[in-house]
Amino acid sequence: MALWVDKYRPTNLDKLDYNLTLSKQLKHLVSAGDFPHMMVYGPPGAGKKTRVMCLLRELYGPGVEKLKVEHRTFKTPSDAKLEIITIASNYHIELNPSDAGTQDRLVVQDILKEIASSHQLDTQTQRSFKVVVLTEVDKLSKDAQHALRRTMELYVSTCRLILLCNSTSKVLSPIRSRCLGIRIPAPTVPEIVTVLQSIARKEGISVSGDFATRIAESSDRNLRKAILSFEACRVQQYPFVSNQPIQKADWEVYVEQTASEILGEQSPKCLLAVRGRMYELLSHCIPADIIIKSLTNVLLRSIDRSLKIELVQWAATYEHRLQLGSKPIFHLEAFVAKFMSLYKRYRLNLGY
Amino acid sequence: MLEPSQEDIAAWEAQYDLASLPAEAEDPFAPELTYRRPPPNSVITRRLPFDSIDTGFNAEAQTGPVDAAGAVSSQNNTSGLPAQTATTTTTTTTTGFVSRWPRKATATEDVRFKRSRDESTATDVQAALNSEFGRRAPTQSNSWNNDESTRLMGGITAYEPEQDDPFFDNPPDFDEAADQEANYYASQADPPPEFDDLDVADAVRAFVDDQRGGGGRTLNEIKRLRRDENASDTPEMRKLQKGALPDFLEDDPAPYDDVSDADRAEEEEARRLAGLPPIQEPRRFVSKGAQAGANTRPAVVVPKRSLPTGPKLTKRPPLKGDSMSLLDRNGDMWYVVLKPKPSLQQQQPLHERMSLPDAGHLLPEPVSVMMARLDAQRVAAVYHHGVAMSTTPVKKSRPSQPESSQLWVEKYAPRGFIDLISDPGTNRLLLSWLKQWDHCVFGKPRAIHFKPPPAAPAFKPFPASDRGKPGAAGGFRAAAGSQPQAANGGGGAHAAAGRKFAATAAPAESEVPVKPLPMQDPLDQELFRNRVLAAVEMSSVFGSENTLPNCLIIDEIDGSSAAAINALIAIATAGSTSTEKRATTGKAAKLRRPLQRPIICICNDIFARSLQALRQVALVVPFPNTSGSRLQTRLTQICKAERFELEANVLVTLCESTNNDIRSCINTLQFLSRHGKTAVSSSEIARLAVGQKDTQRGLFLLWEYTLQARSLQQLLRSANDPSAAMSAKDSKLPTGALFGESNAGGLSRELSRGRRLGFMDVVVPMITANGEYDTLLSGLYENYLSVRFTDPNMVKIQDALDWVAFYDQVHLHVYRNQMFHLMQYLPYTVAAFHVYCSAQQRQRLKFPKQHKDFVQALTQRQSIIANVTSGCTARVRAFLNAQQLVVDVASPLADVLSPNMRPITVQLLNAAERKQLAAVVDVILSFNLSFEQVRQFDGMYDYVLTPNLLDVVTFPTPTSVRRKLPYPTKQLIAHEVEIERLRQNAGEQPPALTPSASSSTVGHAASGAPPQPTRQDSKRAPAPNMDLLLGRSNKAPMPVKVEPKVVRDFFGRVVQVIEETSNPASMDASNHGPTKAAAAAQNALATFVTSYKFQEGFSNAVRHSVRIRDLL
Repeated sequence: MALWVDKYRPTNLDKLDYNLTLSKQLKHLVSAGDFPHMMVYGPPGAGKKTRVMCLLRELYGPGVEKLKVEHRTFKTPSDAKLEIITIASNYHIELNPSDAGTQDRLVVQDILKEIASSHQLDTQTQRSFKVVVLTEVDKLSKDAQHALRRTMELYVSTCRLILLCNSTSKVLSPIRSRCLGIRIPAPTVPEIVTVLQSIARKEGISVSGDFATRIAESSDRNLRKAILSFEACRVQQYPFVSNQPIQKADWEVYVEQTASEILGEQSPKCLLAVRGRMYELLSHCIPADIIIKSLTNVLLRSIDRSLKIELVQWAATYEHRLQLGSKPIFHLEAFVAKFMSLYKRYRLNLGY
Repeated sequence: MLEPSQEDIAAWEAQYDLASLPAEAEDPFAPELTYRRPPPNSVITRRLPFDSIDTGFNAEAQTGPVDAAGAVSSQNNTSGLPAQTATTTTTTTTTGFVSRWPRKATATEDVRFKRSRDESTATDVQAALNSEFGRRAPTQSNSWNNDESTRLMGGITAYEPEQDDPFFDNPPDFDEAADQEANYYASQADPPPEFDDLDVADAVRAFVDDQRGGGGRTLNEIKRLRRDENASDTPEMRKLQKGALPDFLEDDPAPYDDVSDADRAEEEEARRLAGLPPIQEPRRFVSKGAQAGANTRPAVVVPKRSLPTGPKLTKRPPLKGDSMSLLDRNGDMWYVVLKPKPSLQQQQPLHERMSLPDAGHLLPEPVSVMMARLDAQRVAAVYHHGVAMSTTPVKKSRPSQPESSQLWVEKYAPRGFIDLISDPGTNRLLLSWLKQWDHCVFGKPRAIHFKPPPAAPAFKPFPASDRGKPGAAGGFRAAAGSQPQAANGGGGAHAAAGRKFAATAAPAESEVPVKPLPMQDPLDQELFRNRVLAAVEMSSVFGSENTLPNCLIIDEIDGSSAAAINALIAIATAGSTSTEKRATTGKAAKLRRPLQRPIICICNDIFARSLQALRQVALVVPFPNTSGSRLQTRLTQICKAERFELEANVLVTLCESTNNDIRSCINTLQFLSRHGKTAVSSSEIARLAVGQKDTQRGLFLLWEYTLQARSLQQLLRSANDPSAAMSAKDSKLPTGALFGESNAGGLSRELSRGRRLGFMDVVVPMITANGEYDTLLSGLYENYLSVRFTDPNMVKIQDALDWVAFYDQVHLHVYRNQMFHLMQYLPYTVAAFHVYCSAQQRQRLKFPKQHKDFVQALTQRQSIIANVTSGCTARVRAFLNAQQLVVDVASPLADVLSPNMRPITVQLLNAAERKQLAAVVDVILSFNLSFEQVRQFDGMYDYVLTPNLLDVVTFPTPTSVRRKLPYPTKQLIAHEVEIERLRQNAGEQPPALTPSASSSTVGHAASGAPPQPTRQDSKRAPAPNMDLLLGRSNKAPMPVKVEPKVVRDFFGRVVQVIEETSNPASMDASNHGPTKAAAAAQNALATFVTSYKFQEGFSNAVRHSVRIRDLL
């Protein structure tokens, strides 16, 4: 089974390694039978999806693990065809409406109608509802979110929604208020270390606590990342040595290089070079907000405290503009130019 | 020229509304009407055995209620003027007409005009008649669609003199001989025609050609041709001489063959009575077409030479003056000497009679003398000023006469190479290029050494490879097939730079007939191909022996489709070595003949997408803008010729305001003259909205204005000084005026108030007119950082980028919510760039392509990611979306896929390595990846991950220390993956993921060749395939390569017996004990014919020796 991250993914609420109280609460929720709409949110790599799948299994039994990938086509009003990949079992369907781009409203409505219009056949032994899992709800357009609002109420007898998102701030408050919000916090470093060590045990390899901690720390408390880099380290070199480098993702390294370029020289020429690097990052499908965020993180490490607040503030401003516009390169460059200007002024004041 | 079919004729007749003609028209005796002429000229009359309708005119003369023609002719009669009417039918258009000057009314059944000219002659004469009668009200409603034909048709409908005025105004040059002839005609007391034959005939012919659609010549061409005929050295002339008149060298015309002596005597007698000289020349003609069409439709005009002023016939073309060729019944060629334009004195009586404005008679000296003097002056001017003055365009216009409706642009179009005012270097280049074709078209020795200009980057030198043509001398001849066409284009901005005229004049200079092929219509590709081929491979039907090859000119080629261009390229490059291989099959094989004719394509936009491929094979001749001084010289000439007085600086202003657009300048002049102005000041021109096209400024120009203060200053200077009189004072950029509130329309008002115009007044309207905001902005965005404006703290950059963010926001809003009224705010972003980022220094601006490249790379990688996510198994997919894949998973995955493994065969790997290999294979399969062998650029083969996730992961600068797998390792992995995939596809249970099982599975499966070392049961280890087939026991699970799959019959039903052996159950059984499995296998073997099926690549199995014992 594939990568360790998939291979050792817990499939049962009982088997989850951390946030145990949450697991217990969810179990109670299922057994109580009154299952509300849910909104599961938390940072990436915290185990939202894993927990939702465990929850579904708790609801419907192991049958929910028989997944099939379906390619569904929708017809837009302008007669264009739209293909969406859904992952479904007999009891639930999962889709990422933001794949549909501007037509996400249509997809959400169509799918929900389709699912909700059919009742479960055997309501005695089964749940009376199906579950629709919508991922990346924070990327839904406002239209789609409004559409969702109405649909949620309309079909509540036959289907429940589980919405997954990183942050609730981009979800309309009417939707938030219709859902039971469940926050999945990121695992702490010791929790990650425990997980890594259990994986190592199952794989039959030995890993020092020290090395596991290093991996956990470099992963930004993202368990997926931690397990993946653990496996990468295993493939690259085993047995582990204590000072073995932990490979970061290539794009992160690239962002770090970019940051050092920015810190090295503040000039239009450098800005031009940085633009090229930004284009490179974007063309590698790295989302622009993630670029801004990681760039800010890297820059924060090496600037004076007096600049930090301003930097974060501007990063937020430009990230916001990013959402308003359609060409991320403009805003990335504006952010870099802003920082260059700030940093240059700061250095001049210092008398460099 | 095409011969009209009988259907055509019928159609024409129907169209000409013959049925509406009065019954008398059909009367065979109708021609007798013409005998009502005064006696002096009607010497001989002949009965016309008409079998068809003719004499529309005469019939009308009798019966028509408003028949002005008849009225006039009778008036002629009564006034005793020697006017005569000839009645005529032509074979094609059954029409009647009246001869212009006295002619004997005659028609013979055997005399016809040469077909190609008959209509023109008929209409020519009719037009003359019309002109004599001046304006006439329409006498008969006519159902013709074509006004032109209506007008030209036998005096039936209205005649509009304006339409024909060009012919009045365009007399041919005539010389002394012609003059003498004119005098001769004049001596016959004959009311001279007001205009010459030539032009009318030409017009008619041009018209007729037009009517027939395509391939016709324009009036100008015909005129040129006629001029050439005067030199009697044109192809047409030659072919006529050669084809139809072998004895053209004879001085004396042949005697009549078919006119009886009696007839001639009668005629002589009549002439004698009339006091006319005796007949000297033949007078019977048979139209060629009529000849072909037998005698069913006889009756043609007979302009009898016996009449004093009838056309002069010669057996050979006259040395001077114009002529018209005719074919008599015997196929002999005759030439009618056309009457040149008579002098003004000769016109006088006619003028008087027609009460037309007099053109000033009683000249102090004969016209010929004046003309000669004019010529001398012109020669002197050329000699002194070195200015290529027009040889023809300067013509006299009669100020008192109604203005010609002909456009001056047409009227003063260059008639020859020397008339061109476009860049002489370019013209010469074109001419020398054309001359190069002499070598392959005419086989002339290569005279000019053609050196392509270094400035023409798209020029591709002729391929050096010789195709071995006989007599090929050097590369040129050999390259004839791939001789590049000239794509004639001016970088987009220069409209009316004289491309077309240059393209037409150059072939004319080298005596090559021109075949114009306009491309405005979206042509079907096949049709287009056929037309091009027809133009370059065929030639005129007449006198095919000695015809000159064509030069094809394709106009407006930038509007054509890429398919058409491809067809053109296929024609142009046919036979060249590069395309030879391609053209071996199918349709393309037909094109293998190399192109032998020059093709000139004219376009505005050489960078049009459809022309991309053409640029590679063609010589690109960019036409620069016409130089102002040359244009002004020409405009001065035109003004002089039109007696339109303008100051020199007016012309300068005009040229500047139109950006040296020839067409626009001339049209403006004509417009002004039409308004009755005789003097125009330059300020008037400047304020005139006329003549200023709504030209699109190019993107580069706008970028320059925005980012480069210097070019903007130039622009503003001219904008602020429309009269260009004020001294150029450097204006500081009025940054304050930038956000001023002047609209484009009120510029002159603003100016008059004394406010100086700024960027916002001048450039922003240009931006709005251009409309390509996106490209404009991305151009600025990609260039602004290389502009050296002072910005020590990078504040300006921030501000500019704030504007860009605004642009982005508005743009998204506009397109997402269809609020297009917000688009009006977009140009101001460009203005902001000007405010913040413009600099004095000149900087080379680049066309934006970064964003395009980015989008391309992005889509490519997005498709990779989409492939990965859609391909991976549902279990993986459920926890993976595209963003997670890119951000979190891809890099570690790439690390996992490059394990540290010795590049040796599977058998030699130790257990840990096998385990690792199995894990890698497993991961690859779960993401549905594979290693595929791809040929690299250097010809080496390599295994590439497909979909290439590594492309998504890796960056140009080294970002990780990820090891690169050596080729053998990749090969190993690829092999394992394939086997594993086959196994899974075959429906076999995937091996349990316990390390031991997977490793041994993999190990065994991979053993293509040597047997596993762990195997113990048999020394002579057979190949895995054999093992399976024989049910040989094996500790490891059975190999995959054989078909353990369910055997099915043709209809897909499972064959029961075989199932026993091949299903997994029996596989499992084989694990339990060798005897049981062997028994099962033997059972199976007993039931079906022994057959071997080998997977490819396992050749050792083929050679294996099998003992009969094993099989039984």
